[in-house]
Amino acid sequence: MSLHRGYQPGGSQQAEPTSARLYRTLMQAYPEEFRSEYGEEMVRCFRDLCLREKQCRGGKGLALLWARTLPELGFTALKERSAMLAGNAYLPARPEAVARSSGILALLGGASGIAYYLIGVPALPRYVSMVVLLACALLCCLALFGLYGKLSAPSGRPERLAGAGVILAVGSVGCWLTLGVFGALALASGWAWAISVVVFVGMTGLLCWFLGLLLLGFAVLRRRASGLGRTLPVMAALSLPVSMLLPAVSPLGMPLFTGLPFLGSALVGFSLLRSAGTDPLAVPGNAASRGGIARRVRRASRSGGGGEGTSTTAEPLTKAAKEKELLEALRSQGELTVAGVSLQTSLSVEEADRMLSELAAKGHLRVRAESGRLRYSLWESDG
Amino acid sequence: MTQEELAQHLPLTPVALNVLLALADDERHGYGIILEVEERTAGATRLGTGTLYGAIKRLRESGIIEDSEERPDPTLDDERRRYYRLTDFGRRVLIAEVERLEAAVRAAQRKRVFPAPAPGSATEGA
Repeated sequence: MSLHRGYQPGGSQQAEPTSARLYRTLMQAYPEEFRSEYGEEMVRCFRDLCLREKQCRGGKGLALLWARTLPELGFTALKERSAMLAGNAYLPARPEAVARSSGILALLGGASGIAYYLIGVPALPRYVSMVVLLACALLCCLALFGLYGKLSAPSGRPERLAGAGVILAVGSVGCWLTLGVFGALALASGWAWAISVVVFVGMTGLLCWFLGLLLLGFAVLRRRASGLGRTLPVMAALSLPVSMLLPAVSPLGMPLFTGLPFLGSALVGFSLLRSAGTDPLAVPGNAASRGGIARRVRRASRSGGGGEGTSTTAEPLTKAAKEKELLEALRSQGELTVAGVSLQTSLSVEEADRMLSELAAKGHLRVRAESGRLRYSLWESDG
Repeated sequence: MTQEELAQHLPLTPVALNVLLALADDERHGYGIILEVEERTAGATRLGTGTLYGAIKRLRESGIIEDSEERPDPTLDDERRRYYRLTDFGRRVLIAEVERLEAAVRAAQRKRVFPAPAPGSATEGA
């Protein structure tokens, strides 16, 4: 067992140095399960590094250590969070709650944005006008998180398209916040470089907003969701370039078109709120697609109750039988992975994955992650 | 343990390789690993705390390293520290990775992009 000179006996009893306290606060960036497992050790390790740097090189060494640590902390925190999301069914927040709250905020942001253009800009001072506009854009971008929440709700796991969309959403939110700081600086000082930064960051924010909405919109479309929520995100995304291009060629004037993205976001927010109870973005087969099945039944009865009607009514029955088979396998085996369920039943891996994800999302099954794999089991009361 | 299971973990990341090399001759805690890597590489590699513990987490989950049950004497070191050590499987992974790197060095020597050892230098050290 190797001991190192960096350690000072009794050091653990001393008051924690400011750097270690600050590091402990910044560790909130890491996922909770990572912090609970390694947090204390990491703080202790960082404290030792601080003591060594201070003893060897003084304040300069400490400053250099922080300069190395901050970007590393940001990068590794992001890495741990994405690793956790990829391998764990339990998202940091409940996806349904994320969808509902971001739906409210997007609706608020969209409505404020529309009101801003309808009431008219000249009534407000320049700085206040910019703050209002930025706040509206920021709130509207939160709709992207809501869409992501809805998409990950059935399985608790993000898919690549939705994951890329939410990364862009984070980018757009970051851009709006940065824009606020540099916008204030540009307005207060009139520095040309600050104005250039504002233009660059603003365009990047718009691009992230557009691409994020587009990717999440395609992810929604891929889920074959029904109703209002299906095409809205793509339409809202397309309203962004339209709002930028059309004023140049249209005599209808700026306010009508520049308000379009806000209108789109308000509608997406409204759709998210409306779908909070019924889950229209969920995969087909659960309660969400009942409307679709009902339509097919009606269509079948209109056409004389032929083959289509038979297949439509048979579909839920087959699903119920498969579900029963899956639950029996879980009861007999205790705990199974997706592949395990597929081996024990007549279900394909894809079918087993989808059904297990649905049942777990509704709270019918218990899920735990082990070595990057999800294991499903019945609750004790059901077994 | 089959070769296929070993191969799943290869190639090791530079951070993982450094951590395993640090643990190859002794059990160490996180700060000890950072110091060993820094000393061995003459300051060229400085592991950050987040990078190190991210690697430790993954290596522990893969069964390559494990917690040491021994605790240091409280008068010599903080007894709350966790010491890590290589598992038997981890040692085989490390050997397989070093062999892989050695094969790459030999290939580079054959293609004359890396100087071959001087004749007799292998026996000098022995």
